[in-house]
Parts: sequence; C-alpha cells; structure tokens
Amino acid sequence: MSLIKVKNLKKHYQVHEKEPGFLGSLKSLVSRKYKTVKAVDDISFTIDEGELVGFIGPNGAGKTTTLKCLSGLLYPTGGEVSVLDYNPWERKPELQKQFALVMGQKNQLWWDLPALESFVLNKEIYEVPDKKYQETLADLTRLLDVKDILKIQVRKLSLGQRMKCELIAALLHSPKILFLDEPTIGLDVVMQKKMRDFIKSYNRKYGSTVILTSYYMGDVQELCKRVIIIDKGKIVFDGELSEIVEKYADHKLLSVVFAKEIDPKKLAAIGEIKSYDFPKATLSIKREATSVAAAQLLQEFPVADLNVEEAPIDEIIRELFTGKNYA
Amino acid sequence: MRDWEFRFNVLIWAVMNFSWFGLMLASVHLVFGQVEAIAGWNRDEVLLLVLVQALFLDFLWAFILLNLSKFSRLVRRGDLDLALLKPINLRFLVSTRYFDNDHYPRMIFLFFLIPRFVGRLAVQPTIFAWLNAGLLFGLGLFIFYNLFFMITTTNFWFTNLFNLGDFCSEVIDVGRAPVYIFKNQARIIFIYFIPTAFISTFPVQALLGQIGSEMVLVGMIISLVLLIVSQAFWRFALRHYTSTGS
Repeated sequence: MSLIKVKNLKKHYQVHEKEPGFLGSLKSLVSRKYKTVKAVDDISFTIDEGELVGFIGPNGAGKTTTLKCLSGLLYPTGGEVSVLDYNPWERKPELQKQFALVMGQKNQLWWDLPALESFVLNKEIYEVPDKKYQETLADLTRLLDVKDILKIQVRKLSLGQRMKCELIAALLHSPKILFLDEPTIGLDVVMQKKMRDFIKSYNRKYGSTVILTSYYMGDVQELCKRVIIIDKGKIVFDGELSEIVEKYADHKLLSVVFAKEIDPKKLAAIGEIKSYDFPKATLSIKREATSVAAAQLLQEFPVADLNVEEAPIDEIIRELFTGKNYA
Repeated sequence: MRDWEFRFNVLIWAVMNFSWFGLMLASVHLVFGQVEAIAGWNRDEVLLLVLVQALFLDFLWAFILLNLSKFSRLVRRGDLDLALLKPINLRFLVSTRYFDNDHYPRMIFLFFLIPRFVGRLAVQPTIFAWLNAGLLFGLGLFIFYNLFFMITTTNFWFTNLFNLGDFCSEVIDVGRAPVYIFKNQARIIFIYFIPTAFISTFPVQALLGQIGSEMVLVGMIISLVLLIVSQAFWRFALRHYTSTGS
C-alpha cells in the first residue's frame, strides 16, 4: 500500500542576485534582478509502507525541498502530493501526528533547557498518553543509550548526544513516517554507525516508513534497498541500489597481489592503474573486458592472488553526478 | 523557565524596568510643575494613566512582544520549519512560545499599586467599574496583539523587517497621555484605527466612572475585525514561506 504518492511535483523559487561590494548593495536597494530556481521540477514517485528509501543527489539537487513539500512546510508550485491520504500543506493535525521530520542541521530542542523538558512539551503537543510516553521514552532512551544526559542542558551536549536527543524528540509520538534529512551530518564514524543501527532497528521493530537523505553513501548502502537519485530537481534513477551498479558502473576493479616485482608500465597496458604499492595493485577495467584482462594478467604476470570487484557505489554515484551519465 | 537559567539577567532587567518606571513618574511630576491639567486631566488622573500604561506595556512585553520580535529570526533562519511541523495552531505557537519574565516583578508591583492609588482618589470605583476597566484593558491588549501580529506577518516577504519590539513600544507610549490631547481626525485615528485609547485612557475613564460599557462594545467590534483580517492575512502569508536551504 502506497503511503506517499507524489505526482508531477514542482517547486520553483524566485531569488535575487546581488553583486558583491558596496555599489552592489546600493544597486540592490533600488533595483533587483530576479531569477527562477527550479528546485523540484516535475518529479513523481510512490513509497510503500515500511520501505526505507534513500534519497540522494548532489548539492542543490532538490532533496530537502522535496522532503519539505512532503511534510507540508512548503507550498508546491505545482503537482500533487498525498501522504497517508492527506494533502500535506493543509497541515492537518491528524497527519502531523503521524510523521516526523528530523533535520540534521536544525534543532527542535530548547537550547537552554534539558532535553527532557522538550520531550514533555512534545508529549503535550502531540497528545501522547502518559503511559505510552513513558514506555516510548524508556525504549528510545535504552536504544540510544542516553539515560545520563536527559537532564543536562542541550547546549552542553556534544553533537552526537544532541542528535540522539533530537531523534527521541521526533519519535516520541511513534510516527508512521520518518523523514530524515542528513541525520548523520557532522557525526564521527562511531556515532554514524550507531545512528544507522538505530534507524535500521527502529524500521524493523515498528515497521515505520523512512525516507533518508544523506551525503554519506555509507548511510544509504547500509540502510536502503531502494534509492531515488535526484539531480537539478529531476529524478534520474528510482530503483534498487544494486541496479545502480548494473546500470551505471561501466567498469570493474581488479585487485591483484603479485608474487614478484613487476614493471608498472606493462601493467598499465592492461587497464587503468588505480593504485600500485607492491605487491598489491588495483586496476580499473571496462566491464565487458574484465575476463580478458583477468586472463591476460594471469598469463603475463606472476600473480599470487586476483580478485574481481564491482566499483564502490560512492564512486559510481560521484561519477554519475560529475559526468552526468544518466543514460 | 528558560530565562530563569540566567538569574543575574532576570535581576538586572527587573532593576532596569523599575528605573524606567521611576523616570516615567518623574516626567509627569515635571510637567505638572508647569501646568495644572493636560486636556482636562489633573495630575492624579495622568499618574493613573501612566500606571495603567506601564502595566499594559508589561503585559504586552511579558506575553506578546517578545514572541513577535523573535518571529523575523524564525523566518530568516528557517526555524519556522520546526514550528510548522507541530500539530498545533501555528499562530498560537509562535505567539506564545516565550514569556518575558523580566517584566513580572514590575507587573506584580503595579497590580498592588494601582488599586492603592485608586483608593486615594476622590472617585471610588464600583465593582462594575473595575470589571469594565479590566475588559477595556484586555480588549486593548487583544487589539494591539492583532495589529502588531499583522506587521510581524510581513516578515514572510521582508524577512528582516526591523526591531519590532522598539517600534511597538513607541506606539504604546502614545497611550501615556489622554487621547483627548488629539483633535478631530487624529483623535478618530487613535480611538478606532490605532486605538491607543484602549491602552489607558478608556480603562482609566471606566475606573473614574466617566464612561460605561459602550466603549467595550466598540472595542469588541474593533477586536473582531482585526482578528478576522489578521488571520486571513496570516493564512495568505504562510503560502509564501520559502524556508532556507539545507
């Protein structure tokens, strides 16, 4: 069953361009030049209940704007959106009590008060019954291991601790849909792993639908089976993560361990050398020429070990965005 | 509660508010050192006007103005996003998010001072007069909340409008003098359009038995019109909220 239906969604902004310097400022006071930015340009997709979808794209692609349209923060310029059969920009409380938006770069917690104060406020706003609140809070506190910091002022917490508390604040009302906008941004690798584990277990335990935007491919690879790629406001890919490799990876990686010293120049004739640090080397080979290249390596060089691997997803995505190879 | 985390700040502001109040009273004594009456109002009546106006300002700052002043920051920094997500009336949320505790000490002081001061006057108000005055005072707060809220709403377009709090305080300062110092069209403006008369003139007149319930009815009509207009304007403005980038 589709919980989220997006059809021909558009969001355009009028922004003014200002020249730098004092004269630019003076000119801007009197006359301004405006241009239209098509942040989201005619996108359509559906998301079913319980899915965990990665929403990725380069900077300025339209990811956050899309999430904001889905959560009713912005009125779209055109198109239709249905979230749990509601129109999100009508901002009906019945819908708002069923989803949460967590933005990695914004805090909903009161800065000068302990997180627990903000939780109590959210409990009242979302009308969470006392017993349910206590149970959910206990559960989330245990999952995120934050029992010792709930009574400390938020501004005294580390970024990772604050993000955990932000998640709790967003999940106290047990939303069916979770929009996560860069939830791991700025976190260290340990904390990123903890956050991913939490999101995975929350999705599994409560069956909630999650849409996640992130710059870290680790987040997407570990959490999402399905990925939507957006660039310049348009969807360029919507499918399983594994399909990205099949569709866009035009090369594979050959990892070789040599038994004896070799001439790297001869190696370069077989494929592009990504790295060479004797006895190991990594070559990038066109997908269709992989088996021929492997056979050639085994014949012409003293190979101790040979591995054929797909190119890393993040490299594929990077090449996708920079090379714009969406064919 | 948040402000009480900064105890010294609360104390300093309380001292400052009382100092300003002292200056206001001193200015009245200064003027009445030169004249016998202002627009027919004697010194005690004008002092009562100042006390009521100060209480009005305290109420306005304590419960309304701080929120309206912070609204431009909410829009400019995109922090309104978080308020928009909550299943609660957004106007209510942005209007009641903060309380300015700095004004509580003077407010409480005036609550005790005003009845004592009135007790010294020749005219002793009835309970009905007190109720009338309270209603007019409350209507004044509601009227100015709607007026200032409409100005605040323009932040959706102008983003960083101006220091709303100071502007509002200047407007409220007009209420320190009886509205009858204005003539003709000016008086009409300050009774019906920028109704500073509801700040202190009408509540004090109600206490002194000079007006009945008729101005309560006028105040209710003005309040209702402003509420409808401000709410319609707010709904229209929300569609133009563009948030900020990620």
